[in-house]
Amino acid sequence: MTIKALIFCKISHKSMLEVLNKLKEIPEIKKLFSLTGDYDICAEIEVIEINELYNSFVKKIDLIEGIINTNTHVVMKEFVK
Amino acid sequence: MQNKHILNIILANLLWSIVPILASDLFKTQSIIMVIFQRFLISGIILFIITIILTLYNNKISEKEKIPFSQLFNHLLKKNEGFFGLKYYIYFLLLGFLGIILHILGYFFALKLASISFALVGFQLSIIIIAFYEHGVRLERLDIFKALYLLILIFCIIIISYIKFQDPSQTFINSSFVGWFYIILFAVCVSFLHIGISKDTYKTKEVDLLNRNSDYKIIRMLLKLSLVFILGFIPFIPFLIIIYFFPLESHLYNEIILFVSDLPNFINILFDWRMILLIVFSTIIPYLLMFISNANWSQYNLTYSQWMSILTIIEPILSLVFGYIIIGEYFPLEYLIIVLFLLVISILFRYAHEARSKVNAYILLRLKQGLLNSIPIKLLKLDGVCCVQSLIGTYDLLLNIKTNSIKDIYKLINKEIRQLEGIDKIEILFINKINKVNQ
Repeated sequence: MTIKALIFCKISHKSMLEVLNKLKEIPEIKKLFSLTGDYDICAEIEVIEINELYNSFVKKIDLIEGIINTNTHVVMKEFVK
Repeated sequence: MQNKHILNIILANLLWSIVPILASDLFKTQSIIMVIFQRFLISGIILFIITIILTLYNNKISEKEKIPFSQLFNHLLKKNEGFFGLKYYIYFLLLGFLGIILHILGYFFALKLASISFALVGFQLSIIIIAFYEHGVRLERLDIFKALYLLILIFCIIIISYIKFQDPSQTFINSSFVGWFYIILFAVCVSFLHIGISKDTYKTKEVDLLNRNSDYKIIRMLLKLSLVFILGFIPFIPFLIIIYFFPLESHLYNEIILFVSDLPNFINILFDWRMILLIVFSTIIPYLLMFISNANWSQYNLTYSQWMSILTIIEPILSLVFGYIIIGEYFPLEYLIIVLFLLVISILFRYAHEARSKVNAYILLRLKQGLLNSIPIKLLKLDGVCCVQSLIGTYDLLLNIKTNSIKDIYKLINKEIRQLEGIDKIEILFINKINKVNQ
């Protein structure tokens, strides 16, 4: 059972492409959305356990220069039609 | 994964275009009404049996959430708010009747009165009618790509009509207005059916069940199609009797006479290999392929209906080709190549339009306490909401929205979502680009 989380990121000026490229290199990130609004990027991440989410965030995402601020949401349930 | 489902749609269109041509001799020797009658009635009965078997398998053998028969059939007596508030069984009956009429007109025209290529004029006309409906009623953007797409279709209609006027065998088109009346009636029927079939909305209980057992979607679609096929014949029989006693047009009247005289051979016609080909490979299998694709569609890329709109032109392209190769229809090769080239280009324009015009957005919602269980299902019922994710974080829900225009997003947020009780905060994030990273 995988855990899905959405990491909303605010990016500093002129760093968008660089940040996107670095996020693409992280295997746990399955999709990247470029957004308009309060956040610039949303990264959809899938991990096996919550510890892996912590490791991916602390050891990979948090180290990327250009990310000013993040807001992580864990998906509890997905409803579709 | 998505490519597999797109291939399913292409394969279904391929089957729809080639199989009726392979079985074209059947239409020439038997009454078209009889062929359509057997094709859809028998397919409807088989699909209904498959629906029941799948439901029984789900309830008795599989460990998934049970799908009660009462719930499966109960919605038939409810009102379909998306289609004039008519009850579902009447909605299915009307769709079925329209579908039968347009198939009779289409084959009648393609294989008896005129030619396959000329019947395709009606098909292309319907695409133009639907485009104007989407632009006028649903306020979908008519961008340069869609405009070019429509222009190409109009140009193809002109070329095909020109060729058919040159064809000495096409006396019916050249000497009678009835042919044009039929082709326009065919186009109008296809348009109404296309618009009407998408007006099916799930009830709250159904959305809830669908989220506990995703197989409900396929079972529900199978039931819908089987009932559309079966119920459509209820108004069709009185319609035939009326035409029989008050003949308005000799070709159709003769077809009814032939249908009555074919009745004693019902079983023989049913077990003709061409009829089996039509029922299995041109009706049951293509629809099953489409349903499986629809049920497993990913919500991130272009929607299922968008891909359907893009690939719908494959059927006329292949019908033209197979009609030329297999039946040897009159169509000068140079003109055929030009028309085929234009139609292929039109697919690219349609793709460009669909990829550009869709507005994708994320909406983050913070809810008041105690509503996390009920609000997601209410939100899912709204037009444009593809997926709702329940979150742990500063927001409670994330909505994935796909609409045809900014106006639709405005309407969805201000007139639908903000009207729901218990929504504390709304954050709208438009999606510029989706990067597929590691699938």
